[in-house]
Amino acid sequence: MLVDDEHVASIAAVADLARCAGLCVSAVLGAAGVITGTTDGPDAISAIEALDGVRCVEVAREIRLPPPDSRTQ
Amino acid sequence: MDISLNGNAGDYPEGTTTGRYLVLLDEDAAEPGIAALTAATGAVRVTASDDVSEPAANEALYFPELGVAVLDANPQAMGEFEIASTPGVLTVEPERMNEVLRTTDEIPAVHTTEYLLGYREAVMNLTAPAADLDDQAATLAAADERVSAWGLQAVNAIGSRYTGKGTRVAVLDTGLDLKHPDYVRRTIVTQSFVPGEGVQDANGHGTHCIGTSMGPKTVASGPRYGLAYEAEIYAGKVLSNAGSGSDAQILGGIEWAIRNKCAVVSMSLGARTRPGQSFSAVFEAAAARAQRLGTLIVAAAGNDSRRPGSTTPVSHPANCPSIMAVAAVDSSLRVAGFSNRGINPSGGQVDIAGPGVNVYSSVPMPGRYARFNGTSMATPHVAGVAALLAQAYPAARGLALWHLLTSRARRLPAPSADVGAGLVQAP
Repeated sequence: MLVDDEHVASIAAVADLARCAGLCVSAVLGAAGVITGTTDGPDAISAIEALDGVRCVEVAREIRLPPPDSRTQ
Repeated sequence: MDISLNGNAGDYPEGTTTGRYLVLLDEDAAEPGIAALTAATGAVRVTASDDVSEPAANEALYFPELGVAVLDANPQAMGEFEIASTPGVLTVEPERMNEVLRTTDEIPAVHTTEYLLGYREAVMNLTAPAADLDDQAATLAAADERVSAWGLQAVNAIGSRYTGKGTRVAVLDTGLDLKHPDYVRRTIVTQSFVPGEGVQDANGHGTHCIGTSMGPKTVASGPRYGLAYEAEIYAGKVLSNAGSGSDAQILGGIEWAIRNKCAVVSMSLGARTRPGQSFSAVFEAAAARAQRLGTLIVAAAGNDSRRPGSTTPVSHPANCPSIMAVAAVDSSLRVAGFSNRGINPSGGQVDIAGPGVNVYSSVPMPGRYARFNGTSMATPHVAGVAALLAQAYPAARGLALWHLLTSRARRLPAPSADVGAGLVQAP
C-alpha cells in the first residue's frame, strides 16, 4: 500500500491503522513510503484503502526470470 | 570560450536571411567587442534587450545573458569586418528567416506522388533489417573481444578515466557468488529479501548483472567485462535462486538501497504487461521518492517481443515514468529481436538502450563466465555507466543523473519507441 506524501513522515502511525483494519504488516518502508503485508481478502483491502494517509493499495505481482539454462535472460 | 573563426563576416552564403546579423560575443570581452563592431559597421547605439524588440536601422540589440547582439548594418561594411583581429567578437552570421514546418496536407500536389513513392519504399524496407539474422550472427563473431567485451567498447568505457570509485550501486537480483575469485578484493554489502535464502547466488543471473555493472578491470584470463570496477557493490537478493520474487521483496530492496545512499539501483527484472495497461502507482511513487533522495532506478524493458512479427509493451516496473526503461541492442547496434517496445502511454516508453546480445560476464563457480542475451544484460550496462557519471558529476543525483544518461546517449537510427534516447555512453 502506498502512503500519501503528507503521511510519509508518520508512516508508523499509518501502519498501526492498517493493522487495525486487517493488514498483517510485513514491512514498513519509510523512504519509499510503502507498507507491504497480507490480508484476508477484498473487504480488508477496501477498509485499508479508506484509511487516512493511504493513497492506494495494489495486489503484489510475482516476478519470474526465465529458467537459468535459457540463453535469453 | 574556444570558438574562433578566421575570415570576414561577409563570407556566409546568401539565403533566406533578414539582412541583419547575429554577433556572438566573448562573455569576458563583450564591451570592447561591441565597441569595435559599432565603430566598424556604423551601428550607432546598443540597447538592452528588454527595452526594444525591433532594432531600428543602425542600432544593435544586445542580449547580455546570451552574449549575442543583433545588428542592422550595411552588408558591405559587415563583409569588410575582420572577425579574427577583433577582440571580443567570436562569430558573425546572417540572421535567418525561420518558418513553421509544413504539414503533409500542405505539400504541393506536384510533390505528392514523389512523397508517396518514397513512403512506399520506406515501408517496404521496414522488414529488411530483421530479415538478415544470419548477418547479425556474423557481426557478433567478428566483434573483437580479445581485450574487452563488446558491450564495454560500444558504450565507450574502455578509455574512460572514471572507475565508479565512491559510488554505491545496488543490484537487486538473485544475489552474488561471494566465492567468485573476481570479487574477492571488493567492498561488498549484501542483504537478502528472500525468505529462507542467503545472498549467495545459486541462479547465476545476479552474478552476471553485477559483473557487467561493476566487474573488475583486470581478470586472470579472458576479456574485461565490468564497467564501474571501483564502485561499491550492494548486492540485494530480491529474486530467489529459482528466479522469482514478489513486488514486496523488490520494494524492500529499493528501500534498502535508498537508506544506504546508493546512487544507482539496477533491476534486471520485470513482469509482462498488456497493451493499454497502466503502470503501478506504488512503484512510481517509490521511484519518484527514491529520485528525490538521490537514488536513480534503472530497469529492464523486458524480453517478450518476437520481432519482426510482434512487439510487447515495456514490462512492470520499468514502465513507471520515474524508472529508466532499458532496451537491448546487438553488436551492430540494432534492436534485439526480444526487446520490448514503448507502446503504452504515460511512462511506458523505452528511455535508453544498452548492449544486450551475446554479453560476456561472470557466473557462479565453477562456470566462472558465460554469455547471455536479454534486456537484463543491457540494464547493468546503463547502471555501470550511471556509476561512472555519478563519480564524474558528484552533484548529479536522481533526475540530474537521469538527464546526464539520456542527453549523452549515442543516437541510433532505430525508432525512439525501441531505443529511447539511444545507446548509453560512458563519460
